[in-house]
Amino acid sequence: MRPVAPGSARPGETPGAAQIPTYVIADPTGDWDFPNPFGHYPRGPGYIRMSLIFDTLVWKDADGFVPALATAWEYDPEANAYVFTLREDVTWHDGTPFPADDVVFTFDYYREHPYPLADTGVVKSVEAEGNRVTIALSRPYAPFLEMIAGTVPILPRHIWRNVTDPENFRTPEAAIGTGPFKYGDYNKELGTYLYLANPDYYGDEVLVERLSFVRVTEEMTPAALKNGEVHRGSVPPETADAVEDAGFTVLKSPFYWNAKLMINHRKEPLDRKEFRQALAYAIDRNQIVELARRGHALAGSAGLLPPDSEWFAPGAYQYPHNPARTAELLENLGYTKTGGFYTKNGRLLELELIYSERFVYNEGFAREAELIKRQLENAGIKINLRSMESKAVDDRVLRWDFELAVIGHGALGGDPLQFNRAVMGQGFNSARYEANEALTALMRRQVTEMNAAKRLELVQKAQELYAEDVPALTLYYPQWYFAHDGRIDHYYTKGGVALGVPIPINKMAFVRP
Amino acid sequence: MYSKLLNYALAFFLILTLNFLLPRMMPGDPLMAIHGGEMLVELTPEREAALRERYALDQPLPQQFANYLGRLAAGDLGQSYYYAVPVSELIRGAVPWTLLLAGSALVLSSLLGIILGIEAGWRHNRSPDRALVGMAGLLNGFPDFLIGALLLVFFGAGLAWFPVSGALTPYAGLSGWALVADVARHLFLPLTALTLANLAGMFLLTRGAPAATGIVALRAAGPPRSGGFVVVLHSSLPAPLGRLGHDIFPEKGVVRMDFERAREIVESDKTIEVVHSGRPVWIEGLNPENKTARIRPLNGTAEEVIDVSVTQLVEGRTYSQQPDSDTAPSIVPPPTTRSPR
Repeated sequence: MRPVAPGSARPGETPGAAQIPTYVIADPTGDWDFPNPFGHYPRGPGYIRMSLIFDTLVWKDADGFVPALATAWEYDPEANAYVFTLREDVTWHDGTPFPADDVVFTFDYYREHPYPLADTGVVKSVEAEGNRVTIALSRPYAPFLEMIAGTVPILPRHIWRNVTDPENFRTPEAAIGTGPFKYGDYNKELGTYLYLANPDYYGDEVLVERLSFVRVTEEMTPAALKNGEVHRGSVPPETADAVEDAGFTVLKSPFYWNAKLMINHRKEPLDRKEFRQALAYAIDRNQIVELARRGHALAGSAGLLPPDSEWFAPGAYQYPHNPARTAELLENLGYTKTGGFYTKNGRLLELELIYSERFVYNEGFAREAELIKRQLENAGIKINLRSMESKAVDDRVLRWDFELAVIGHGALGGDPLQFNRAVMGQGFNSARYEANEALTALMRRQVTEMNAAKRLELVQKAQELYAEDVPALTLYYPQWYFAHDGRIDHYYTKGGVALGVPIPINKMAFVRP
Repeated sequence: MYSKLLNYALAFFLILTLNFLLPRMMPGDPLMAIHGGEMLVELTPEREAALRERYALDQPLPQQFANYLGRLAAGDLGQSYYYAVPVSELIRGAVPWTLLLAGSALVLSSLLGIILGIEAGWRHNRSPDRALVGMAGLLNGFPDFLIGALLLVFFGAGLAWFPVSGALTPYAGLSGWALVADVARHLFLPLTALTLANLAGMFLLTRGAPAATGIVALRAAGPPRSGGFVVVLHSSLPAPLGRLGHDIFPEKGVVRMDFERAREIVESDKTIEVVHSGRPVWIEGLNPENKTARIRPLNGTAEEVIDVSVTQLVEGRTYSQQPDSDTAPSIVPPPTTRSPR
C-alpha cells in the first residue's frame, strides 16, 4: 500500500473530507445481482459487490489476515474452538449498535438458509459473552479462518430475524451492513451499482465519497479510462503497455486460474499412469503459452497449484517437453509405431479431444486444442478434435463420456481446501481422482491439520503425488491486466479476496491506510 | 377464418412446447449451468437437492410442463433460473431501453429511407440518384455490427465525442433536460449505427418497385407539375410500408404473389399493377401446371417475353377501371393485365 503521511492532502483536496468525490469501476458483465449475501450471484464479482457493504469477522489484505469486526482471534486446540474479540465501536448503517449476539444470530441463520459461498456445516456452536464470541467446531478444520471467518458476511439480527425468504428480500434494508460503504443503488438493466461512503465506519476514513460500478466491455475499457468515463477496469493483454504509457497503473493478475487438460483416467488406455505421463511429456506447455496466449500466461505446474501460491510444491515433477520419453513409455506399454502413429494389436492409437470455442471469462480453447493435437500427433498419438458448446463439454466430462477435454477454472490461490475440491471434489472441474490412496489420505489429512507448517508439508506432498499420477494436466495460468488511474492503491489480496476471489478490488484499499 | 385461428393456436402450442423442452434437452441442466462451473462454490448433494426442489426440477417432466402452461395461462412468465427474478420483471426493465433504441432506429431509418428513395427515384439515373444508390449498395453490404464498431472506434475511442458505453452516465445526478441530453449523447452512436444499417434496404426498396411505374409515367409527361410529389409518394409507399409491416408484424408485409392471386388479377376488371424485379409488367398468360406466368415488360416487345414463377411477382396498386387522375399517372394509360389466353 502507498504510505500517506498523516494529514497530508493532495493538491485541491480538503483534508478531513473524503478525498475522492467519485470513483467509477468498469466491469464487462455489469449485473452481478443485488449486493447482499442472498442476492448476489454466487461468483467472485458478486461477492466483491456484497463485501463493500457487509463485513466479516476477519479480512485479508495484500499480506494476509487483518482485523475486521474482530480485533483479535485465537485457536483453542483443547476445545477445538476459535475465540474472537469483537470491536465495540461498530454500528450498522441504520445506526443500530452491533452486539456480539449478531454473530450468533448470523451462524444460526446460515444453518437454516445456507450462504452459497461458505459451508458452515463444521460449526458446532457459537456463543457470545460480552465482546467475545466462541465458535466451536465439530472437527479440526484448518480452512476455518479463510473459508468461514474471513468469508461469511455478518448479518444484523434486528433486520433479518423475521426474514423467512432471504432470496426475495431486496429492499434497501436488506443491504444494511457495517462496511465502509453504504448501499446507494443497484440497477439490473444497466448493470450499475452505487455505493456511498459510510461516515460512521469504525475503521479509518473512507477515501471515496461515491463509488460506482458500470458496464464497459474489456475492449472499450482503455478508451473509457482515457476519456475519464471510468477510473479502473480490466484491459485486454495487448493494450496493457499502451494503457501504461498513457499514465495509468497496470496491475498484473496472480496465476489463480488455470486452463486444464482433463484426462478420463477411468478409461483405457488413459487409466494407466504411464500413459498419462507419456501425454504430459508430449505436450509442450511453453509453446501453448507463446502461441495460444501470445505469451500472456505462465506454463502450468503439473502439481496444479501455481508458483505464486504459498502452498506451491517446488518439488512436483514438471514433465519437460520430451517426445523421446513419450516414445519410450508408449513402447513399454506395448505400442509400436507404424507410419506416423502408434498402434497396438493392430489398432491405431487415437484419442478424441473435446473443447469449447467460447468459455466463461475466456476466449475459448480453439488454439489450445489445435496445438495439443499437433504436439501429440508429432509424438505419434492421433487426435480427433471436436468443438462443442461449453456446457456440453462440462456435461460429457461429468458423465465420464470423453477421453481428453480442455477446460478452465479458478480458485487456485486461496486455502488449499481448493486443491482437494479440484482433485477429489464432485464437480466437472475436478479431476475426481481417488485411485491413489496415499494421495486421498494426504488430502483428507491436510484439511484437519491445524499446524500451518505441517499442513504445508502435506499439501506439497499431495501435489507431488498428483503430478506423478497426472490425473489432469494444468496447461497454463493466464495473465490478466487491470488498469487504474492511481488515485486508489489497488492491490491483489493474498490468496484472493476472502475465499479466493482473484479480483484486485479490496474494500480496505478505499480506506485511508 | 376458424381454420386459420386453429393453425395459429397449434403453432403457438408447438412453440411453447419447444420453448419448454429445448432447455431441458440441452446437455447438463440449469443447475449445472448456473452453479456448476464456479469453483468457489461446492455444490454439495444437500444443496443440489434443495435447489432442485426450489426450481421444481425434481418433478416429472409432464408435471413441470403442466405447471408451466398453467402459470403461463395466468400471465406468469415464470422465474429466471439465471437472474433469480421473475421473467416479466426482466422484460419490463429492458423494454423501455429497447424501444428507445430500436424504435427510434426503425422510425428514423424508415423516414430517411423513404424520403431519399423517392428523391432518388425522382431523379432516376441522374447523378444524385447514382450517388445515393452507390452509397446504399455499399452500406447494405456492411454488416451492422461493423458499422457500430467503426463508429465506436472513430467517434468514441478516437475523437472522444461520444461515450463508449452505457445508456446514460450512471449516478451523475442529472434530471430534466440535462438527463435527456445525457441519454441522447449515449444514444447517438448506437442509433446512428442501427439507422444506417436499416436505411439502405428501405431506400433501395422505395426507389425500386413499384414506384418506378409512377415516376416513369410522370417523367414521360414532361416537367413535374405541382402535386407530382404526392403522386409519386402515393405510388411509392406500399412497398416500404409493407416492409415496415414486415419488421413489426413479420407474418404480414410484402406478400409474394401466389398462383390464385395471379389468376384473380388476370381475370379482374380492375387495373392492377404487377412488378417483376422492379419493372412493371403485363401478365400475358398463366401456366397452372408449374405455377409460372408469362410476362412482358410494360413497354416491352415480344422478344422480351419471359416465363417466371408467380412467386417472383409483386402486386402493386389497384386502379379502378378508369384511373383517377388525382391518384394515378394519367398520361400513360395504366396497364391492363387482361390478356387473351
